[in-house]
Amino acid sequence: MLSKSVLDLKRGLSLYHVWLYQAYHEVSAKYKRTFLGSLWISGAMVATSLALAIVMGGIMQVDLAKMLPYTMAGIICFALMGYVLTDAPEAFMQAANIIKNHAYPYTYYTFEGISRTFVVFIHNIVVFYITVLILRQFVVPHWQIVPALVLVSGTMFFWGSMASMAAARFRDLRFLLPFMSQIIFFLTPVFWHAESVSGWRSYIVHANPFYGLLEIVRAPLLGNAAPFIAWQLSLVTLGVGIALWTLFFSLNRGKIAFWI
Amino acid sequence: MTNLIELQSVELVYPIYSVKAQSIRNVMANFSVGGRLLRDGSDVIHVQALSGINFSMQEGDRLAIIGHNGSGKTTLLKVIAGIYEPTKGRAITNGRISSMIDISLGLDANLTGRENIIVMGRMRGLTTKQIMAKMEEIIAFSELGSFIELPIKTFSSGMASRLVFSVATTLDPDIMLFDEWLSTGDAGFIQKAKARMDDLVGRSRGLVLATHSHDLAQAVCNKLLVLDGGSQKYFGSITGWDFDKRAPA
Repeated sequence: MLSKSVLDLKRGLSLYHVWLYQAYHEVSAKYKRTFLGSLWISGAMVATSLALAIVMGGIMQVDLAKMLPYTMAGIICFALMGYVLTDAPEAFMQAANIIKNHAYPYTYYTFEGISRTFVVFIHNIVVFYITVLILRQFVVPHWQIVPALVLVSGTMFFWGSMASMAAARFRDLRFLLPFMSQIIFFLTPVFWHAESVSGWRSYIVHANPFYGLLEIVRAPLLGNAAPFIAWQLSLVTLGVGIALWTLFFSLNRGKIAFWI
Repeated sequence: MTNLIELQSVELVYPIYSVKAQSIRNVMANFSVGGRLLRDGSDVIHVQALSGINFSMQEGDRLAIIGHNGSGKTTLLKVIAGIYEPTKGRAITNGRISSMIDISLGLDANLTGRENIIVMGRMRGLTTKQIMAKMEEIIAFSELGSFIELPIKTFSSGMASRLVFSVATTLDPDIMLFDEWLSTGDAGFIQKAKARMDDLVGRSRGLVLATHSHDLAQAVCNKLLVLDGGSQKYFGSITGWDFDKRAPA
């Protein structure tokens, strides 16, 4: 059982040239025949972050030039782990036709989804740097962004693969998980500051894995080292993810074709 | 001599999930009432799809699988392809499987025929360069002409099957699995496909064909597997089976 999971993972990884290509084409194909092309990818992100920066900046008495890069970086980095809740539940369902016809490794679909998320991420980062240059807020990213992105992609893989499996077995999760992502978006310091909550509310920061995985990427992006608690949360989430994935993926891999 | 495909006492139990079993509410309710009240919450029906399948194919063998509707032909092809793992027993394959089980599936409807050829080729592990080298040959065989530049969603099912058939047989003739693909093409294409099958016999290492057509089975294959209700009724040389009496000759 375990050896088949490892084999699935190896075969999935060896198809890297396919999923990278597919992810890029799927994202860009959506914007064919549009004037602004793939810039539309970042459209929703710009709109949300601008609106939030105007409102939250007003409430917290912060200058827009300071607030906009913060909310924008928050939304961009939240979208990475957001993959687990929004896109991963659809992964096996959307590929049902292929899964019923070809014995491709199941990890392939997760890798493809993660690559798609990163294609969007890269587009957003370009828009982010254009914005900070206009606002004269440019900072060089902290070196921690490199290990942080590796850690986040690993976590996306193990938890995303499990979310895809769970949503294929229990169809309610296809709707429940994207809904959860909205709640978590507001409960996580994406557009507000972690220091502004106290008392019992501090648990939504200190016990929130989405905060950890967001902050280890966002803080370096804004030129700072991430707080220790963020690294702790992220490492624990990854560790638990690997352990659970090894168990559940090995036990249920052979059943996925029957579920969809 | 190593076996190309070997199935050892393969048994497959196929779980069918009802709407209720796929609802998390029913599963949760089952937990909370101790499984007494909503016993239906876990109604997963198990179907014995295959049992006692034992056969092996050597290099160059062409196997025909025949049987009534629902006798397990497609399920068996899916076990050979590795899509379903046997519940008991072992399925061993030595080589690259190119499955054409449901011909119209696995295409991206929004991409053009040409783009789909590239995607299919890449999914089979080839580089874009290798695919481009065979591109014209694929398009010529499919006889789609300038339709190849249109999105697949404008294709009829027969046109889509022409495309998949010519991609699979041009790019990847190692071990080929076919399931009733002949039914969708028109007469001209069926003739051409039959000729291609004869050519493939020479180029591919093995071929498995699930079919209702006894003529096709006898024309192309040298071995025969007869399925009846998920179990194996006959396996052996195709000349050892009397198609009229439905019994070993």
